[in-house]
Amino acid sequence: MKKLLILLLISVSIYAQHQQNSIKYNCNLCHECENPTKLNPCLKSCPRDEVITVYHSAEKAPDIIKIDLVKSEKDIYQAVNFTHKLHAEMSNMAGGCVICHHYNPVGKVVACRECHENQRKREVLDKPDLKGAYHRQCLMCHKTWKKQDDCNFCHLQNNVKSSAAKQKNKKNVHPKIETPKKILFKSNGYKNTLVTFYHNDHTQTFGLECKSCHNSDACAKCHNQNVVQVKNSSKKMDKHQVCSSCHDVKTNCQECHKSKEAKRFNHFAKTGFELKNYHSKLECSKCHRNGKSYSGLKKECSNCHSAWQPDFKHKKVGLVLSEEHSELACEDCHNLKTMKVDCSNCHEENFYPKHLPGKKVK
Amino acid sequence: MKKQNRRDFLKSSISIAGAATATNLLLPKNTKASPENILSNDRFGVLVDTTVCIGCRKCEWACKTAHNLPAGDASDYDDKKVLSKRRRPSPGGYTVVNQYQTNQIPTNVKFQCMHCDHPACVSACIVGAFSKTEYGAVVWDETKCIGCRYCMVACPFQIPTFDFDKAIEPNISKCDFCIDRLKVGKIPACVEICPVETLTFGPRKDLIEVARKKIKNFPDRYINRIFGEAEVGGTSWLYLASSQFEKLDFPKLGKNPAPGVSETIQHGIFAYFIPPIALYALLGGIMWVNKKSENEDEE
Ligand code: SF4
Ligand code: SF4
Ligand code: SF4
Repeated sequence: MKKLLILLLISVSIYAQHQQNSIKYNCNLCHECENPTKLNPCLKSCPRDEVITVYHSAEKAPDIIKIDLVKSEKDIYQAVNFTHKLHAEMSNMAGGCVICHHYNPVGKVVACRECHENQRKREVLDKPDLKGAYHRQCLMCHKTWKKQDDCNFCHLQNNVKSSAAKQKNKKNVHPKIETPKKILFKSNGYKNTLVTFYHNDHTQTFGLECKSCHNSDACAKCHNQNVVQVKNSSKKMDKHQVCSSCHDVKTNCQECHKSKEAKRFNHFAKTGFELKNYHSKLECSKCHRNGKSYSGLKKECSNCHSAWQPDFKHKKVGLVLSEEHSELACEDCHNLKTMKVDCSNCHEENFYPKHLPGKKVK
Repeated sequence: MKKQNRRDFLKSSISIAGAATATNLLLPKNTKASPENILSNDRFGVLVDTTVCIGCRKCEWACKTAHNLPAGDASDYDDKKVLSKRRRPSPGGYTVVNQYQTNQIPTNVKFQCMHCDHPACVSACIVGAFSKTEYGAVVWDETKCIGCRYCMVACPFQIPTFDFDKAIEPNISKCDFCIDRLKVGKIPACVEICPVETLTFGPRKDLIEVARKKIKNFPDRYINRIFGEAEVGGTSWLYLASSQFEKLDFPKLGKNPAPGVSETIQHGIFAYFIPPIALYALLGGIMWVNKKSENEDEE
């Protein structure tokens, strides 16, 4: 019977191993020796981010986590209510979940305590215990800016009932970040040294989120300008790399590098085609469709509006046609080339825009 | 001046001892110094990683509390201004954390007794009050201490402190590695409380492995040196840092256990009981010369 059981166990484990083998993994990512066994897994020291395979969005992350596992001989401080979701969101700008969850092979999200022993007196000493790990993780960012590495910044002190201490319990929220309208970069690698970057024009026109560009900034970048983080120091944002997803940074230097400060981009001044109403809301690529080049379009509407779309939803332009008008063909009202509205087929001249063929909507 | 090397020093001490033979009989039996000096293979140590210390000074509080010294409230230690003062361990606090402006981020360094493997204090103590225990801790016996302060002079780290307010009951004090806690299987109070585990407690030989691994894995973070691995013959407390230790007020020391010699003299002298003052002066002179020539050797 015993033998049978063992046989069963072995076959199950072989099956399980086989299952795992279907995942493409390089054994020596984690193991030092050729043939690791259960008794001697010869694990490398923590492989950290190399094996991260689990990703979640910040929205799915737990909101608040109470960190109360660590018990000390003398608990000077109370447990911390860690605003996890808030931090997860902030991490989007500084490298993502990985900056804290530095080890996560396939499966569920690994909790800190699964690797870091909740025991200071222990045998395996090459990674910090749980208390150390928590604090180091938090302080990695917090200690780089002033006043926020006080114990009281996160902890309430035990047996202190002062109102100041209580206030700390309010949920912390990162204040709104003021974004710069214009940044003037000075470069010295190219004869024209000034690059004028209209920050908000870019974010608004292209619908960019902060993290679209700022995904490897350190908190210290804003919080303490004269301090550089020792660990996980943010790589200097390679500005060319960020721009290169749209701009040709290899050959067309003078597009951005100018001898004097550049004016804001103005579609009308540059092309003679004014972006009004519906057009001003469009992303550039809706009209400039051939990949990276933004030149070559003529001013005519027929560039885009070459053929009437029978199922065009007029609502898109901010006007819902009334029932009788919606049955008309496009060209009954519009001039194909200029899109100008002409009501004279049915109404007297200059009927529009005094009277509308429907209702304006937003 | 003639540079005196260790051998000359030994010779001079032998001649002093010879001169003193006559007074041999005057020696009280129990004064014969016989310090217990165990260098256990499993002795403990603490690895201090100065790159993680945040200077919260909770270790100072815990140390005082564990030794029944007036400690005050833990929040009294939030004041970070004192970090920039160059404080030293004192009878009122056996450990201090000082801050050094090294890189862009300041380095905080906790100081206390290093618990040398070949302790100068043990060798220097004329009544054998000091001993190195199998735990790795260097401790002393209050009842034996006569307050001569030789240990203060001998210690390469200037650790033993003397309470000048209490001249009547002379007693040296310093970090005792929380030996009473170690004996009951606990870890030192400072190690226990440290929020970031700047202080890792364990067998010294394991700590050296850990330290080597850290240096290997994070070459940008640490300089390639474990302070205390070899200094003055090795210490139980070991340090890692991101900048040169000399910039952090660590003394420049050789690898030899500095005091091997003074042990021979002092114990010898005391064994033969040469009446004090003149001898102390002579001895002090010899130690001073010796220390100086040691320093010169290093350079
Ligand atoms: S540091 Fe000084 S007091 Fe401590 S063991 Fe070494 S010599 Fe003795
Ligand atoms: S080991 Fe004990 S005596 Fe020494 S500094 Fe730490 S708490 Fe103080
Ligand atoms: S408790 Fe730890 S982190 Fe705080 S000052 Fe002491 S050694 Fe540094």
